[in-house]
Amino acid sequence: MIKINDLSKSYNRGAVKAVNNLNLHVKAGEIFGFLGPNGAGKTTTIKMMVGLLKPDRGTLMISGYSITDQPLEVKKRIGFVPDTPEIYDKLTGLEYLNFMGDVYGVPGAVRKERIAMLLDLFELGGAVGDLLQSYSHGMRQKIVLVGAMLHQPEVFIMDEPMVGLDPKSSNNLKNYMREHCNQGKTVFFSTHILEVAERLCDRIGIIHRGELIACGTMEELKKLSRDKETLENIFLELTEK
Amino acid sequence: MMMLKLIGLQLKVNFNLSALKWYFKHDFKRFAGLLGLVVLVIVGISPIFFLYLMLVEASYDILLPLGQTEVVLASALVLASLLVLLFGLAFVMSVFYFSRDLSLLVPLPLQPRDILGSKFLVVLLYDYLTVTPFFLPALWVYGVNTGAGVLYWVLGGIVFLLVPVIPLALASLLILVLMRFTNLSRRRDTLRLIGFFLLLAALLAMNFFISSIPLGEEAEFLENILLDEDGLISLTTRAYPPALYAARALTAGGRESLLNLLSYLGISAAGIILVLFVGQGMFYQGLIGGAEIQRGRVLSREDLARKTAGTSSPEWAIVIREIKILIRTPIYLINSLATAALVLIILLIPMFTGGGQISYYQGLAKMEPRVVPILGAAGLIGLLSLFAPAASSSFSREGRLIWVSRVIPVAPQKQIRGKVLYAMLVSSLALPVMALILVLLLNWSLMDTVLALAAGLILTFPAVTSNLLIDLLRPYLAWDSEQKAIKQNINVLLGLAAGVGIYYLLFLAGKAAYGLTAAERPVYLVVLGGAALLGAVFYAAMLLLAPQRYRDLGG
Repeated sequence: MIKINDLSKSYNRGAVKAVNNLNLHVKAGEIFGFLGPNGAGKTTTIKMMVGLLKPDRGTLMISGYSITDQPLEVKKRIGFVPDTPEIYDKLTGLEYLNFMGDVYGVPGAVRKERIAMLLDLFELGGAVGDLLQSYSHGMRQKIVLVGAMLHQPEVFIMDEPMVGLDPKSSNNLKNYMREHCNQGKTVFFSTHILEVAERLCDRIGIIHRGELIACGTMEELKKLSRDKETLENIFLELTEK
Repeated sequence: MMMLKLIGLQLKVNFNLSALKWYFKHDFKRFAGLLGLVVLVIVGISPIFFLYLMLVEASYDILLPLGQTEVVLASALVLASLLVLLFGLAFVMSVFYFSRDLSLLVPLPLQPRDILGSKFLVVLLYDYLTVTPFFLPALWVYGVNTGAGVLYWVLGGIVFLLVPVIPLALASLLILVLMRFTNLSRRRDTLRLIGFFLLLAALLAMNFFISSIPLGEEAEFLENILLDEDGLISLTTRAYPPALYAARALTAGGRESLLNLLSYLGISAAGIILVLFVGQGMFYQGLIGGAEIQRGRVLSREDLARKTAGTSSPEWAIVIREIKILIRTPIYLINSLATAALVLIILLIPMFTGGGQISYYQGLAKMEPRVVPILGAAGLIGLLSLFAPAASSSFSREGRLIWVSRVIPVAPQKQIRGKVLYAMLVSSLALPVMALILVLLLNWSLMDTVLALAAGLILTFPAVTSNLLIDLLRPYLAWDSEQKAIKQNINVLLGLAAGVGIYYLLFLAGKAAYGLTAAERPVYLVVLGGAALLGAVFYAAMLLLAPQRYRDLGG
């Protein structure tokens, strides 16, 4: 589903290497957790995956399409949730969802059902008629999530999706991610919440200073570390080298 | 003391001083590019400036035999001051009440007057851009023609600095009161819009009532004005009395000059003090709670099902998004529609002020060949579209939310189509107003009216596409308050200059066509065909550039 080969991106005319020769394959039906300290290159990688940043080098294929050469084919197949839920303040929640439905070409009958279901899932039904300006951070995060789920994307890409969510919504999101992958689809997300990654992900990648320093299942990661107890210990050991 | 620190901060933020300093040291190419852009805007607008300079020269020559040449200065002072006052209302409202930095500043241990004072200065500095092209040509023409000495130029400099102070203080006071008393209501946004337009209408009505010539006594009135050596200057400054002090400070000479300057300075200082004093009591009362949003009713299952079942094409989805954002963002609404409305009102006001102007307009509207008034009215529709910066700030207004447009699976070309459609729709709001003016006030035939409206729509096309192209090429996305996206966006000025340039070219082409053929049809063909062609070229350029621009924007 996601194939990243030799991906590199630098800033300040090459002075800062944000992502350096990244190679990564994520299979269909997999939940992939992308971890790393602040400034490690997680958001840069995700932005390149969804077409918000242009790679300096390397290829990035999603569902068999290249984000550089066939960006629209990729965009039709992904759902994206950015790290900060910045959306149109002056639209109501419902208007935003209808806009997303229109641009992703979700038919009316399907849209009607999915919106009702997703609003129930995130308990947003009561606020969906209000301007997004009045939403709390968590509510904005939820409406962005609903907007990105509306077309049931083949690949769901999220940057820190749990930030700002209350425990119940966070749990519902995790369940949704699992169900989504059970249908043969893929979830790729970055997080700082290591327990979530440990419990939820089929595989985990750790990026540090732009380079993928570890990638595999929890069992495989444990083999890389002296202290094999928790992901937190593994993470700290690997990123402090 | 605190106000001075805030002023320093506001100047750095609003005029990008820190960024410019950084570019100068580390990225000179970019610094030079920005400088080049400013030069481009000045060059673009300079033809209008020179036209105005020639007009002032001609006025001086007419006034010379009457011995009333100081009217040149007085009328420039009145014009500049009234423009600052009228356009200042929207600007003050934007900067005082809708800047995002307010949520940072209000919780700090600062006095309301400190924040207000620093923001007042920011608007004041921007207003020198309005004052410069109107006042400096008059100062120059009068000074050079009268062979004025050093004192005149020194006093001229002081007067120049003072010109926007009083009208801006007046605009600030009106907005402070409006915002204070509309902050009580649940529907404050609607009330503020209505209040804003009422203020504007009241100011215009008052102004033109004061300066209109009494009906039926035109002859005696004119005689008095011409015989009295101060007649014309008194008439001119009736619309804005403080201009009389400023004009006398520059022309009276000796002790009287000084006294008039002191009076002008005194009123200006009193204006600022009054703004700070009133602001200390009212600013926070109008501001705090002003952004509160009322919750609507909870949607029932049936309502939800009904409202989510309909679909639109991606282009229409974009048009609807843009329209809703325009209508619900007071800053966008005021700065786009109100500016265009204001220009229209200023152009039309002489029709209602008596003194035979209406018959002059009617004469103009009936002139032959018909192609002149018809394309003239069409040109006015096009010009109004330039003053409603729906196109020239279209990409800029997306700001940090540009990520949405970049990740959605809608081809950039389709998104451009949506934006063109939206901008054309906003511009076409002028059509019903023009239709009423042409039919009811100027008694045009239905045929001529329809022709003028259709031609107006065609002339709007190159204005919209050129303005969109400019904003696509260099959108201003890093704004932190909506007013910067539309009011402090150089693309809006560049778009205006480009539009005026296009219309001037079309005018020359039409004139040449008539000169060669002495027939009307070739003029229509050249002007409207040219407009459609230019519009299509800009549109095609956008379609060509869009995929790459959408990939790189904000990245």
